[in-house]
Amino acid sequence: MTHQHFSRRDFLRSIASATGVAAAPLALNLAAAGTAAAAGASDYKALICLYMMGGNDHYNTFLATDRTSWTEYERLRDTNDAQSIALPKDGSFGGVLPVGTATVQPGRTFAFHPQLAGLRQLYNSGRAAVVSNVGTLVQPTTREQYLANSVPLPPKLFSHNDQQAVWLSDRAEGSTVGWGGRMADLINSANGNSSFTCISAAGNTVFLSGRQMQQFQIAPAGAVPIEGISGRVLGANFQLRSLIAGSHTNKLEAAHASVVSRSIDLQAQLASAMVAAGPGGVPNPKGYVNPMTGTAAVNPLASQLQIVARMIAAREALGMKRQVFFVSMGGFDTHDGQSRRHAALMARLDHALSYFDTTMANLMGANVRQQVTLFTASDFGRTLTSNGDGTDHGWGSHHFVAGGAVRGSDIYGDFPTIGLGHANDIGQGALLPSVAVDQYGATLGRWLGLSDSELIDVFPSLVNFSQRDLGFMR
Amino acid sequence: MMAVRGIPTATTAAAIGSEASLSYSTGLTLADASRFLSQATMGPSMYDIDQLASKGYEKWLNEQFSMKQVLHREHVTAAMASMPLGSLGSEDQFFESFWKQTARGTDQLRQRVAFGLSQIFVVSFQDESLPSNGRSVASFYDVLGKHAFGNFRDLLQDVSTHPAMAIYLTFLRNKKESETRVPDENFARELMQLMTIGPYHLNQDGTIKQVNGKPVETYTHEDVAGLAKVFTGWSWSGPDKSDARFYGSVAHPNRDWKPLQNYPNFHSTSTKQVLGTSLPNGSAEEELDAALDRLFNHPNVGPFIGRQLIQRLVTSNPSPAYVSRVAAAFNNNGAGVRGDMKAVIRAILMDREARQVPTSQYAGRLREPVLRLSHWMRAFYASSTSGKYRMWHMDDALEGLAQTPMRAASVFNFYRPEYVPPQTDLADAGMVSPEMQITTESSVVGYLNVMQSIVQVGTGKNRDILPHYDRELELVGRPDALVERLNITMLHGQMSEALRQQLLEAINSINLLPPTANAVAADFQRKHRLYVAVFLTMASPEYLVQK
Repeated sequence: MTHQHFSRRDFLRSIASATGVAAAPLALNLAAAGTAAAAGASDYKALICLYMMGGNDHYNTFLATDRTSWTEYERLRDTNDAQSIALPKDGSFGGVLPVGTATVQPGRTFAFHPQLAGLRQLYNSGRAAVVSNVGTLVQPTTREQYLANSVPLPPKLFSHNDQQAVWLSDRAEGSTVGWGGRMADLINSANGNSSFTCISAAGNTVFLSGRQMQQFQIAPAGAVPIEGISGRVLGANFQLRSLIAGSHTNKLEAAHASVVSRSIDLQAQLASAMVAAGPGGVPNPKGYVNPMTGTAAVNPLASQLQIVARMIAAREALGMKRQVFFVSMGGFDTHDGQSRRHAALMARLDHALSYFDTTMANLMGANVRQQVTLFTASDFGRTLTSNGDGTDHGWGSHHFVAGGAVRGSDIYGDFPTIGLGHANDIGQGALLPSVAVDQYGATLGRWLGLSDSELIDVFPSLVNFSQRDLGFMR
Repeated sequence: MMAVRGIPTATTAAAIGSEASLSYSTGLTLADASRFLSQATMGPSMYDIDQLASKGYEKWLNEQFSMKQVLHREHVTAAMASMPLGSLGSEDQFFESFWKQTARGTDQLRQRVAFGLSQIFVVSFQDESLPSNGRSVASFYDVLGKHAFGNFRDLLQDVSTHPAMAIYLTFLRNKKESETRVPDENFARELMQLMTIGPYHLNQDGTIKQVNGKPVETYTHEDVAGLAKVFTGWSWSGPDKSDARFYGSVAHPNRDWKPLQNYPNFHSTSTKQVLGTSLPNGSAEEELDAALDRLFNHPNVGPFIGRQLIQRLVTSNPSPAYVSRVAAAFNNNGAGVRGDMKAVIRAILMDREARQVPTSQYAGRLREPVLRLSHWMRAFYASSTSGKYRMWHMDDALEGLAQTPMRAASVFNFYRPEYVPPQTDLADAGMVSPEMQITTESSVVGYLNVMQSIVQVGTGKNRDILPHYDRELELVGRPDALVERLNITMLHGQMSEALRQQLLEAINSINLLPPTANAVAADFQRKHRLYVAVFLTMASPEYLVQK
């Protein structure tokens, strides 16, 4: 492993490993040094990454509906058969849902996917914004530069696993530090408990791995204790912990024992602080009905957001001021059956977002919308052209930011031309991004309380971009 | 009929002795044999260990290579008879067949290699349309098992024309390009990235070639687009090539498992670039052959696939020299044949790096949850009350094992071969541990709680799958002997003195009752000595890391 950026954190980490100082006191030292902008924060802020696994088809998620755009859209997507991936136009039965923009965009009109009625309502209420054509970039890049391969480009474009890693960690697969975790390293000093700064409700993610911070991976059902951990297991008097969480010479054994050790400690801490699910606690998500099949089902994304809400509700008991969360849903790699699959995905996304917004409005009696911001991320966007009943891997993609602190009802970043051969088209309508993930993330990081220098530390490529705040956060 | 191995008699078991270091005329110890079987099977039992130690590796390998394959497809076909007309089998029927073969089948090497291949050639029931195509997935798994002992080129052919893969990676009914449409690129990309050559040019030892200090990519987007055109026009098999059959409205009853056929009306006739140069024009079948030949003959395949198979069977961090030796066997089996899987398997298992007990602190691999459960079934001769090994998926991290065969989250498998657990000594040393990617604060609790239950009352629907602890129960009055037996079957003779003492402490804390005592209570105490010994062994990090 190579450390490309030997930073203050590396330095502190080297001290930590040399002296055996654990992460939490170290972070407090950092606060004492007065280097962290978020140090001593008295308010509460949470940032939530909602990751759409597989590469969301942004072209059908947020659409340009003016005549010029729509004509090209239909030409390239409407195959005039049952598999057609073109959505019905605004005003027709089941058509796209039109919205305005706070900033006038001459000659252009826009709409959401027909299943995103709840998100449109958030947008219209000023609690959601669209960030247009975001993608992985090392520096501002033109189509000519891309085609000539004359500037540094992100590694392994169009590859799912690598672009997921680049989006979340600035490096291809195999990286161990993501920007959620790196932000958490810097803001953790505000917290009374470093164990719950980074929380994933969707399994392991590099996004939440910092240099000091480790993610706590919680199941949607919450944390449950290990049976027999209290000294009596299967009829034997035995301290189970000594066996499962001890020290080991073999490094794989040690890595596993370390996860077990964390699990035991954190479950014990959560047991008393955790807010219940359901009546008297954080409401359970209402039933979800798949609009394409009419069948009722559990919405796993809403379940993940419920455990996030329960953790946020426990913020005071846990001593938390700043937290970064990760939730995700899969199935976005819509190479085929897109019209049906994507509609179901959008409906599930919408159901979960609406549930979460309502929950934040009254979380154990408090309205915390202003303090909680959710943003979307995905591997990449998709091609504009159809492959018959689906789309293929692209690059830039539209994303959403939602929460009370968002300057909503607007689009941030240049909305690209719909069609082929334009300045952002690198083939089949795959988009050359006009906004870098680093700019998108830095805008969120600033809201969370990171200073300019800290943001550059978190996003090494940010130095290559003049605009470091896209302006979508209050 | 599947060969079913009986539970050894008490006489046989007693003759085995109870010392890991007991040496056979082959020169092998019980520990040697158990360790080999931890790499080559779904998990050793004392019976298997005794057999291997008696026969030696060579004889055992040759026997395994010659064993007849038992088809999962036939199990699902039989099960479909009791389903509504039109059913194509369920995922549960595949799981039944999987666990039945795991627990009872003698063709253990084929099963272990097939399970490894299923994590490289990924098809997953998590796809929305595959759970109702249980037989198709079962047949796909059979293809992996068949070519596990065949040639990698044939494996590529059958994977690339299998309906389950065509559904999963979406090239079924993929049509030629038009003015506004391009062929689906999904399979073309993943076939190169994940299943044959990987993203970067490799040295034979698996390390990435550096040109001017940088890795060089093996393929471009033009190659993906070109290969995507090769995969146009493929759809269901059948006696004709009508459009209706292509689209699926006319269906042959075995189309779910018969190889796809090409429909010229839908096959691209334009030039197709694959790995930098155009394919010769020909029929769709000839183009597929040429494209797969080109991938198969790429020098990356040996190290790329070889290294992953080493990770699945032996160790997460093989030395470059080990990878190179396995790649050499892939490149040439000694008789001039490339892609001979038997030669590859032999090279992996018989390599000195596999056979020597490792001393490095980075040695081994975290056993994935499926292999822990399969090991438990085999070590304790699990049988099924219904005879069906009735199982369902075990995906849930708290209620299950966070892993189910053929239910990976995506084509990228349950975990990535290059996964590095952050903030560990492994990361600092540049080491990987793929299975750590599904090891979470929740999943470790799930495993421990689920196993506490399983060791006592079995697993499966209605606890259909039950262990037979007969021999171990005979030893509960001799804790040293009980622990030593577990040392051999579960820990391959590698149990540390510290773990041994912990197990003895726990066992001895449960008193055995005198013969005069209440029979129910006495039985309870005896069984709990056994349960806690088995559970704690399987809970220990020493067990969890196969070394």
